[in-house]
Amino acid sequence: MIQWAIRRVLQGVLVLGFVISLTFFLIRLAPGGPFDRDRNLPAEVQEKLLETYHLDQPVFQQYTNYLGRILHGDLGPSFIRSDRSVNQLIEAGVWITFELGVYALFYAMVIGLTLGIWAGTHEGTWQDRLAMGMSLLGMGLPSFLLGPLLVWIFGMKLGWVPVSGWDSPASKILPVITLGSVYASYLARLMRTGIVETQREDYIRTARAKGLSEGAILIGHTLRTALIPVMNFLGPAAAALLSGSFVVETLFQIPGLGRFYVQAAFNRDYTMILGTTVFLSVLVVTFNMLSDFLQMAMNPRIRLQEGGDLS
Amino acid sequence: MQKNSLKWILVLVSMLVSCQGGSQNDLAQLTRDQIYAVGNGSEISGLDPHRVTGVPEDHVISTLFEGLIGEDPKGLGLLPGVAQSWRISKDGKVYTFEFQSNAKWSNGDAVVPEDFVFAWKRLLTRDLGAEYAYLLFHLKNGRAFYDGSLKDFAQVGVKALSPQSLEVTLEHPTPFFLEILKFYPTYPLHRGSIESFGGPLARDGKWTQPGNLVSNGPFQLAQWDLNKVLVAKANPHYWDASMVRLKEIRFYPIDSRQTEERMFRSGALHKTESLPLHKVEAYRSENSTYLRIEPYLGIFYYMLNTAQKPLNDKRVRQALSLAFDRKGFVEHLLKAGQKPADSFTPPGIGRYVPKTQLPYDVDRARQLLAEAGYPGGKGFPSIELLYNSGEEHRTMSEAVQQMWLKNLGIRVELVNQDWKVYLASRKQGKYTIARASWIGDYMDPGTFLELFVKDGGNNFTGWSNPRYSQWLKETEVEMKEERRNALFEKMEALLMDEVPVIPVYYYTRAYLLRPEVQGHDPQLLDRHPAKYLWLKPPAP
Repeated sequence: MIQWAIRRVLQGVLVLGFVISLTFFLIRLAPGGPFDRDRNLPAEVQEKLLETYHLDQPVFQQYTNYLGRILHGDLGPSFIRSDRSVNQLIEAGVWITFELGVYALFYAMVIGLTLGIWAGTHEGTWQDRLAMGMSLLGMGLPSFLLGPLLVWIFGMKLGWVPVSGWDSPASKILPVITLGSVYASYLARLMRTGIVETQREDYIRTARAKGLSEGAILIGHTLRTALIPVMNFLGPAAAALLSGSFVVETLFQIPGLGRFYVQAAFNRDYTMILGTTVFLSVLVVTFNMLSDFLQMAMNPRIRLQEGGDLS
Repeated sequence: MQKNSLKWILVLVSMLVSCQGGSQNDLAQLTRDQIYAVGNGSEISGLDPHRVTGVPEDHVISTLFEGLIGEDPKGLGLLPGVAQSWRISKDGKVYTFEFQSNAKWSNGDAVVPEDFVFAWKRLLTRDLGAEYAYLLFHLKNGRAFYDGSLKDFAQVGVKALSPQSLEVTLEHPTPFFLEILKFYPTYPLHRGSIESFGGPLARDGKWTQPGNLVSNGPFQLAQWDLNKVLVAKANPHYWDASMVRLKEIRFYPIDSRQTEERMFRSGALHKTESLPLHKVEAYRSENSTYLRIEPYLGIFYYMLNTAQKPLNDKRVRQALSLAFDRKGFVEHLLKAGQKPADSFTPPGIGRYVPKTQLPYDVDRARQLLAEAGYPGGKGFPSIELLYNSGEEHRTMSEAVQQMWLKNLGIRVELVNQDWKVYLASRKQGKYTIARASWIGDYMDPGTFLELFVKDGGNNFTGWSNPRYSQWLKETEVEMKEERRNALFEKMEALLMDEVPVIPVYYYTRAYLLRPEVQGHDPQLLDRHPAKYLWLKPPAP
């Protein structure tokens, strides 16, 4: 088990190294630099800017310098927001993105699991079809369509909630629904499948034969097994929710990390692109690892399999 | 059971409504309190006037700081700023500025000529890496100090004559020099606060943070939350504070024009930075009182790579321009009040009136193409039209493609690139025809016509002409307006005859503005000095 954990952490570090290196060289391969403007700068000004940010050095030297810096937790200065460091910018946006992600995940779990359980326990009935229809709709509606639609109905027509911002509790409702709906739909489908499959297992039949109530079977037996694929999905979903909220942040004018990320990409702000990539990669790798650990703790079969492999 | 559910739904809805934020629908209250809420495009990249470029930065910095010359809200002339008056020597090279006796910084310190000397020295210090340093290359020895060949700043043409007067000496008489002084990179800086936060070259920008920033304009920085809001409050120490009626300005950085328009409609903003092109028509057909369409000092054009075949033939370039239906393009495609261009320099700059005409004459265009060896477009190679990603650029490029196919029988292939890639392609000459635009920095024809000087940093057309460059040099020293304008006219005529560019239309600015906003007049440079703005609550 410990060996497995060590191996898993080492894999994570390797993935991070690969992502950083690939991003570093790829952004430098993209045509156009951070100081290219609609109106060209005089050559001497351009030279000085490149020198200031060490972009006049050979690329490999820039790469080793950068690696050295990030080992000390310094992600460098932003090229475009000249008076802030990348660390400061990430700090300014991450907590809001994090808050949005946590709410969206919570919303997705509550709605998704409820719908999934409802559909799974009513397999083949109109309830099942309704729940799955709703989930299909949720998956099919991209956030750039769902967001404006919700804003139009609840913000503009009914005037119940603000159309943008991240201040009052009401302003958070639409972004959370917009971001969380796709994940709620996936979770509903996973949960339903898990329940339907588990209910056909022999041990459930045994439980029923022993005279246990449907509620007790669901809570005591079915859910435990049916939740495994859900857990598997939650790790990457949590990472994606925390990192992939750019569209929602832009739609609702939320000052999170996603907006910085895309602004940086369009502006060729090398250090900011790299900094956010490093940060988000750490998040994704960590969440995936946590999801693996969680799955192992919940499912003895995987525990035995992994243990067997390693022994 | 059903009754219970209904009750719960009602409770939930009332909770939702009761916890609704106060930031959106309280525009009437903001108006009464003289708090102006305005969309400001992208988040600003900083507040250091020497380290930023860009329009959103201009909006904020020109609210917080003030230069020697003030901005006229109607864009008609020069108003006193920090300088209450100025004198220009006969040879046009020496300017003497007398300061307002009560010009003060937001911390109460007096604004003195040394503040300008300090700021201009900083702007010209190469190690700072200021992008706008070249604006002060007009100063005597400005460029020499920047490139390091001169070490002693005392020899640069700016010095404090007394605690109330500043003398500026130029390399050449520069007729538009006072216009440059309205532009934020030339504003003064507060030496004490910059030095106490790491000195003039420190890159962490601590001196520009709320609580640290000392400014001399009508407003001072109160709050700055990245990607959320920047709040400026009236500066009680400002020399003309009695003129300032707004109490506060909230600049909202909004990347998406659609989101901005929704915010305006829901009552969160007094003004939008822009309006999506496809919405202009809808607002116009509703006769909306919010819609503003105003001339803007900018030109949309196609640049031609004259170093490449077949555009190295002047007749081909002329044919492309003659076969361009600018009126139709503007009236049927853009529909936002743009004016078809007849020159490269937009009209409205002082007394300079471009006299060139760009007619739509398909017969003449076909004739010229035939003379160039391509009758009816036969044998004409397929050429590429490069445009950057953008809401309306594709539609416009397709219209051009159709127009030239129909009028001249030539095939144009469309090439779309991301902004930075497009800039790189243009710079390296990897294009045949490219969409382009140019916005004037100040009210002078030179800000447009200087583009096409030989080896000019922004001349990617491969075209140059010694006569053109010579005339431009003469405009830099000619102090008589009439003679100077005559030189510009000659340059314009030569440019339109040689066609390294095809001007299409003069820009307009389309945006939404609440009728409560007063003192907001159309201005060619789209600068609306906040000191003259105020909010008039609607009659009850």
